[in-house]
Amino acid sequence: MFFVWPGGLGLIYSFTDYSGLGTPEFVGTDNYEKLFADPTFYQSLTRTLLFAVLSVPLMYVMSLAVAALLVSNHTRGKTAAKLVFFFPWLISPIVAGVIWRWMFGESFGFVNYVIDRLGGNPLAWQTDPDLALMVVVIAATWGGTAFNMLIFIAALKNVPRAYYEAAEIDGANAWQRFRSITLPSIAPTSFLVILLSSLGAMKEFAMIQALNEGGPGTSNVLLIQYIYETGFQRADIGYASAVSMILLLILLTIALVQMAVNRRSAA
Amino acid sequence: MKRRLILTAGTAGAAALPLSACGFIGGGDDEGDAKTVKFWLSGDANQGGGFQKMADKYFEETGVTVDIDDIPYDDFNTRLRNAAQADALPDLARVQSIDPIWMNQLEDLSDVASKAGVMDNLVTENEEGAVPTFLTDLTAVGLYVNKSLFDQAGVAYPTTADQIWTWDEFIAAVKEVKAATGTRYGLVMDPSSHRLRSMMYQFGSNGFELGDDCTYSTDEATTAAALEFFANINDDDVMPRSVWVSGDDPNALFKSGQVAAYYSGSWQVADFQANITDFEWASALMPAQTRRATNLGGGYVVVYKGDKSQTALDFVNWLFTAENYTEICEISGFLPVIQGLDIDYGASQVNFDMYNEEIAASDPISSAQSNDQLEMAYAGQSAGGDADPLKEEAVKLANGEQDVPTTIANIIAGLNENIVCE
Repeated sequence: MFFVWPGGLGLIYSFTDYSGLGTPEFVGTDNYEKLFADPTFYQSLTRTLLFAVLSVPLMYVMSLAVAALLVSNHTRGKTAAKLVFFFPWLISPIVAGVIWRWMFGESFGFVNYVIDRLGGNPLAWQTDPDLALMVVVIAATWGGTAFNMLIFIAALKNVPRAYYEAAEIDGANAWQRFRSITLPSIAPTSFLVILLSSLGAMKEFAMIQALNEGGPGTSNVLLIQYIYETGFQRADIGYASAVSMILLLILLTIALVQMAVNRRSAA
Repeated sequence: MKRRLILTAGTAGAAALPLSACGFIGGGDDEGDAKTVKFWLSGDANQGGGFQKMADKYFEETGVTVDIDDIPYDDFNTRLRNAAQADALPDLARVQSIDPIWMNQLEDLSDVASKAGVMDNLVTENEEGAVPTFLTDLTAVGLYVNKSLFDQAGVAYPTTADQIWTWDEFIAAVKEVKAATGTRYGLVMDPSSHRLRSMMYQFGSNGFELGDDCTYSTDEATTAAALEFFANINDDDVMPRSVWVSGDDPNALFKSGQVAAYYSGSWQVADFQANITDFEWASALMPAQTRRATNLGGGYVVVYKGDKSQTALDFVNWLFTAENYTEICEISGFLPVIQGLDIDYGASQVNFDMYNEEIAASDPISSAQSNDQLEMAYAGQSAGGDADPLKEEAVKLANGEQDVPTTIANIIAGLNENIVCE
């Protein structure tokens, strides 16, 4: 009941014109019809998917690389490094957004200051839609790496050493060992990380809200923000619920597809 | 495998229901006793903490604690809505607008208003003849210049009525300042529909007006001229586009000393007086393309019905006595809603004199927004919510997402969607 009831309520709301007060009136599939004809919805859906496609691989590579470094025998100062890499996870996404907003501020940001000092032209981090999305991707990677790194460290430590020793005797170099031993051994973990990061990326909210409110303009308003705007600011909870239901379907599909892929590769 | 699948899918599903999870609700008044009232407001810190100082004084005199919660402006209406739905409203608040969701839970303030002598034209009765709210203070849109930069460039700015400039002259002047001093930007304007309205008024447009047929309309020619001008100065040269399109803070930009002028309002005086030390700033008269206008506003005081409403009313009564009200006006830099007070703004006197002159010389349209808003709320014509089509569409305009005619059409459509007529 505890898990299903709020979800069921959302589903019911999505068929009504509920505005947060008064009695919701049943409007059939009106909300969904409006939704499929709404260009803003498609724009934010595309932008959300683009964000996920960009940030998930980046986060995967980053966290795996950091984890590999941290379990390697050749690395020094592991504890300190672990702390540093874990730091972003401890920061509230809102604060993270504010930090990155300051770093990439267009007029007086740190990054543009450095570019300016090096003799380059300051970039429009806040007013160019694609650059703004890039900042969001970088910030999301920064924030999400820590958690995935921990999962990877645990997985990497569980790969039996004997495999590496055998491979070394056979003359495999570091890259070959990584490709043929490490990657297959941590495949289930990779699957988990990719699944969690994709779902996380589709639901990114607080950080973006603090970073640039989905700006410039409405060009980077992701689905969750669209839900927030229609639901709370325009008090159109019925419509917002319909959008959430679509998002739920998308997330379910992602989860199911990834599971199917995982099962096939495991078989 | 099957079981894991269902479980994961379930997690994904539960996570996709942000509507059920996003209800951040403030309030929760369990900790207070009868001698504590909760007071929600926004932006007190920026205005010298006047309400906090008055609350401290009230505690010393009466032993009643007024617990002030300073809530970010953007979240304010949402927090109140959520509190109303969760039955956790504060005891009193200084609000930006009247929301139908809690409109019927307000105490009648007509006694307070008449005892305090609030100006008649600022007291609006609802259909039952009650006064659910009135302005705690008057604010007006106004212009600030970076005096150091203007002086350095040898460019003059108007301080008396005979020197008034048009928007074209004003923009030419800030460009001159920019060129002569190497300043980054000419102008910043608060990203708010309130400021945009005042600019439209100055272009001769009456903004968007509700007709008898329950639909909005506008004078296309003047409104289009104002919006066209607005879009043109959002060029990363005169104005940094980041303020309107991605929420950069115009106040901070102006304080950096890298912007020649700031189109904002009277509430900034106290903040600037205290926090700008790197350069000299001054109030200047606003440009008038076809007529002089400003946009009046202010915070509305409301007392919610409940166990402690009498305690809250006592505080409001106390606050609006001549002596205390004068004091908060002086601390926070408020323009008073009570006439005949002798308010000493100290070093800011010249700024407030200019605001008073500006208000007196402004077209009557300047008070339309604030009056209409109350009347519409009382008549139950507003659907509530935080929708602000004027700002949303202006942002798209500044971002180059749409042209002026589309912007006007979208604003009218958005406003019409939010209006309920009987």
